[in-house]
Amino acid sequence: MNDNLKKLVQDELKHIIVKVSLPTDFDVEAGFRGTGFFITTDGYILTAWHCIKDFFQFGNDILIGCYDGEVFPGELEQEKSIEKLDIAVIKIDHQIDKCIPLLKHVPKTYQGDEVVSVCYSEMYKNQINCFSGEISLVDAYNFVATNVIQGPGQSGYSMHTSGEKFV
Amino acid sequence: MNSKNRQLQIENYLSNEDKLYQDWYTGLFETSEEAQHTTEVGVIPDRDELKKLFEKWFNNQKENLKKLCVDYDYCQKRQQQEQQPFLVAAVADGLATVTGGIPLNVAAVATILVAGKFLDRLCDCPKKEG
Repeated sequence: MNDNLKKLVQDELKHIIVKVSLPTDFDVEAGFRGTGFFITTDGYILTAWHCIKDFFQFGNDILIGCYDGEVFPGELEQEKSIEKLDIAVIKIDHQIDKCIPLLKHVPKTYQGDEVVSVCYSEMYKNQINCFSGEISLVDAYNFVATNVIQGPGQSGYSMHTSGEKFV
Repeated sequence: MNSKNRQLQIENYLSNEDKLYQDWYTGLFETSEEAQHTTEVGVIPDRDELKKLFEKWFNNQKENLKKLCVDYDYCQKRQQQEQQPFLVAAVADGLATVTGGIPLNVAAVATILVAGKFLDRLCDCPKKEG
């Protein structure tokens, strides 16, 4: 995927993608643990369970950093989260215009599909970036493996195919 | 892990504080089901943040760790033991018992507890002579 297209995708998604932080003393950067994204316009965010494990181990607060720099305290929606599938749902008190809604029927994904992901990454000093790759495996349960993950911080990202499907 | 390997690991930790704290942190989550899939992509906080997290962990575990003062007579061991790696190894042996089933990298925890003087303060040990 060329850089122009990556930039377009990033511009489109940057306000929906959030930084997940569990700091010991309100320093969002020091507490950076991964990425999340809005699944509703009224403040529900999906991320990876392992990004918030410090909440249970140390009792750290969950802070959600938005692209414009605003930071909100997050509340774990434990009954909506599934630890075994590494899924966590966080609620913040914030309204946004757009979100990436969860679909009941996810379009079929195939091995070799080109995918793109916009996420915060430790590789880029915890800043937002756009990564591309492909689906390397689809198993019988439609779980996918991909090479779009390239380092810490990306966990909790949303992934899209070039055909605008949400994977 | 045999005692020689543990001794080497402790010496390595004493000379590499970054690795020490990183191994302590990752050791806390090693038994969780998803750990094997997330270790490589999970963010490990920087050293300053890890030190603050350790303080929190230490405060939560104080009651368990106090057993090292009494049951293992930490202050006396510290007086007798000239070489820090051997003192750390003795504490590591004790830790495995007093912390029960908590997932831990005992070598890392023992190194931090001794080198960071956490146990000196917790056990209220007298200042070392000489």
